[in-house]
Amino acid sequence: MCICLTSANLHAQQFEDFVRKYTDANGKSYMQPLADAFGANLNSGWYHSAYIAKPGFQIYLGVSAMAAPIPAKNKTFTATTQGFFTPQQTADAPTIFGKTDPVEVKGDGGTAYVFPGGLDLKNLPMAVPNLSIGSLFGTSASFRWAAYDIGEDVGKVKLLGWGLTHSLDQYLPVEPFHVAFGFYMQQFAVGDIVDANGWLANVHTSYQLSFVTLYGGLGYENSNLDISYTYEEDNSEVSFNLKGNNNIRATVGFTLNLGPVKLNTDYSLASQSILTVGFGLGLNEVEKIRGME
Amino acid sequence: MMKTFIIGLLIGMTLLWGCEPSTYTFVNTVTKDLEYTVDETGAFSETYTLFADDFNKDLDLPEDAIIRGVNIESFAIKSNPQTENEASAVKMNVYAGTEPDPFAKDVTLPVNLYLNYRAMPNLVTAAVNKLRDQLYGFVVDNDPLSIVFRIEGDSDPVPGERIYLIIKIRVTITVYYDVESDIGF
Repeated sequence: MCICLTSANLHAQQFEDFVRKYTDANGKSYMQPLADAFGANLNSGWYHSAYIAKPGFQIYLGVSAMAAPIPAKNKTFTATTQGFFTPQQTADAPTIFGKTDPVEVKGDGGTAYVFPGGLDLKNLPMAVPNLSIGSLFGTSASFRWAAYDIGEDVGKVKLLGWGLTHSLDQYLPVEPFHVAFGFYMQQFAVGDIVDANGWLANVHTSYQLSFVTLYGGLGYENSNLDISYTYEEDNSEVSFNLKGNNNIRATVGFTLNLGPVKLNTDYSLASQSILTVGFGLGLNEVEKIRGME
Repeated sequence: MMKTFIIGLLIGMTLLWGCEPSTYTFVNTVTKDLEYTVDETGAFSETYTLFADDFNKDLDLPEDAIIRGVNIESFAIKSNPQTENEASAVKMNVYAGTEPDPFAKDVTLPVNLYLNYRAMPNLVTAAVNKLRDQLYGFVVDNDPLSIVFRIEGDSDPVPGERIYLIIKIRVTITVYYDVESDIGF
């Protein structure tokens, strides 16, 4: 991670050049897929079972890695030439996840307008630590936190998330299934430049087999990505306020319970789908009457 | 000079897998304002010299950049009439470097209609392409060291009037270049 962070710093100038042309009306469309994928990633990896010990001590500490596969529709957008270029034209230009090659359109008298290329990414991955602890009245609390000081003129990168999961099967005759409702929210910030946040309200259910817990959920989510930056050369301001397009997500997955070791994977189907893989250690995460732990 | 942008950070923070070197194409745009003070009665000729060093300083490319292309995105023009100006318009040609042909021909500039920048009409494709080639030389190896932009004209529709204008021509130039980087995935 440190290597990549260093790399990102070294090449920040080039990224600045990537989007420098997009301080205008095209910028939002160019960046929107980043907001979609990043927001969907933020809202993922919160659960790997619907079972909550009632009453009893329950804890899970692990890491979730998510990848947002970038759909083809999010790799191009209809861009419009800006400024004094004539005549005004539109073109299918790459988004930030699109092909690296710029798109050029010809104008009057030998002029040409260039729409920048993208990063040519197939996926946007992310990894976060998770801690869940419970339960009190069939409720467990979840947290995710990370901080890293980039230094220079950037500042700290901070991730903070929390959530509550409440067992519904204690009220409902749904045995052998477990059902829970969860609400999770998180914030991600990079100095004064980035402020991202998201929340997920979710109902999920799980069914326990011998070493495997099958789970699924249906959720409603929201995310925002605000970017504010001042170019050093000319003090021009760049400001994007982007709202993730994801709303409804349906999730299916399974957890391998190898004693205290938990391995899980799930896929969330949504406007921006997400594949999640989790690894962690958990205690009392499987219903004891089944004798699995 | 360490400059940062959020995309780099987001990618650094979130795309933690597979930092394999890849070649990326970046785009940088430079805008230069060429300023002329025309204080003549009748025909005028004024010059503005653009130096390669200044241009490249504004461009600020990384050392390992491989230039893929230079384009002229647009020309825009505006006038700022001074109190002693009597001409309602000027008609002029705009030249670059030693090229005998103007890259903008018979450009009519109604002084009160062009108080703000407007797209410059009457561009000549062949001459604009030659200017583009000179700018490419600027970027690739500082050759030529400078380009002299010259405007020549007279008042219009009545030649010989008192002209006292500050004329600005805004040239927007796009340079795109490749850099191998390990920010990929």
